[in-house]
Amino acid sequence: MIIAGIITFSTRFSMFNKSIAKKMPVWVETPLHYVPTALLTAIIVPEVLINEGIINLSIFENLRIMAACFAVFIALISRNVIATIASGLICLWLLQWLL
Amino acid sequence: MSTKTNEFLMGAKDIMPHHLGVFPFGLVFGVIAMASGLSILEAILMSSIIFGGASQIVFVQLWSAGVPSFIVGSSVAIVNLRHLLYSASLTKYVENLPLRWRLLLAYLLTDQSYAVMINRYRDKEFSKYNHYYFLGSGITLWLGWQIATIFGVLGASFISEEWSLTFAVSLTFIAIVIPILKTKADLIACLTAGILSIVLQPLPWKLWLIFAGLGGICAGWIATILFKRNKES
Repeated sequence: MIIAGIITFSTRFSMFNKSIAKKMPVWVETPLHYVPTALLTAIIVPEVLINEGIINLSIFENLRIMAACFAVFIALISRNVIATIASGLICLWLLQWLL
Repeated sequence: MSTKTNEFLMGAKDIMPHHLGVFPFGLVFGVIAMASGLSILEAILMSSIIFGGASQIVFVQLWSAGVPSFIVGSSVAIVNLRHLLYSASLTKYVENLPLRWRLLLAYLLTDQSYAVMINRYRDKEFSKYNHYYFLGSGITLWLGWQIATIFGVLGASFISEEWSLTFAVSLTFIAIVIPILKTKADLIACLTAGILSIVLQPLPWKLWLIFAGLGGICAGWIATILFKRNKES
């Protein structure tokens, strides 16, 4: 746990240090740009599609799919954090209650 | 009111919407940590030591699944790679601050504080006290996270799965990812990572996380290079 803490802190501090920041070659900027998108998506998708260890693509059994799509839609039009999270959760609860 | 206090309060205010995602996220972490056999103290300490929702959840999930520790370490490191980017894009705003400030702000750097920070720097002109804004947003998020973890840990047995709180974690990330998808290459990186994260599920030790992440990054990178070449030719 301590090691994971050190790893986390050092990646955060890395570029706040002038000498390290200067040594970074320019080409790494392009791949780095895609890091948040790729990693966060890789966390989101299985979280939504996998129920109790099994991939469940049925939109009527796995209600998270519909709720997530709705949240994505709200995020696209509103670009608002509260609206996205609230709409996703409310949509999921409504679906659970309805079906 | 001094500018320092103003900046601090503004940071605290701007991060508020993110608490809606962070609080259930912290609760979920507390519950998962208990379920995976961590002690109450370990779970609470982890929130201060690591202070990173995604890293902590990945850590406890892999740890409780009996994944070898070097894989746990590499997965946390990969999940953390994005902080390298956050850190890099904030360098120019913090590089002249004293070391103690930089250490503190680095500790408080998260997806959420980065998201509000970068907006702040983009929208408004550069102020001498911007680090107080960073501090204000970081500290309140930190407090929220600690409180949520404690609630999650202590209330683990009362929190029902029917509330679907884990879904709030996905929603928090959706709220962060969607606004940063701006180009075709971003979309390609996103789709590749998403597809790989499902296709690679059979891999042992939850290695799918590392490979889906790297796959998405490479796809975006290649797409950038190809699009650039097309434009030139």
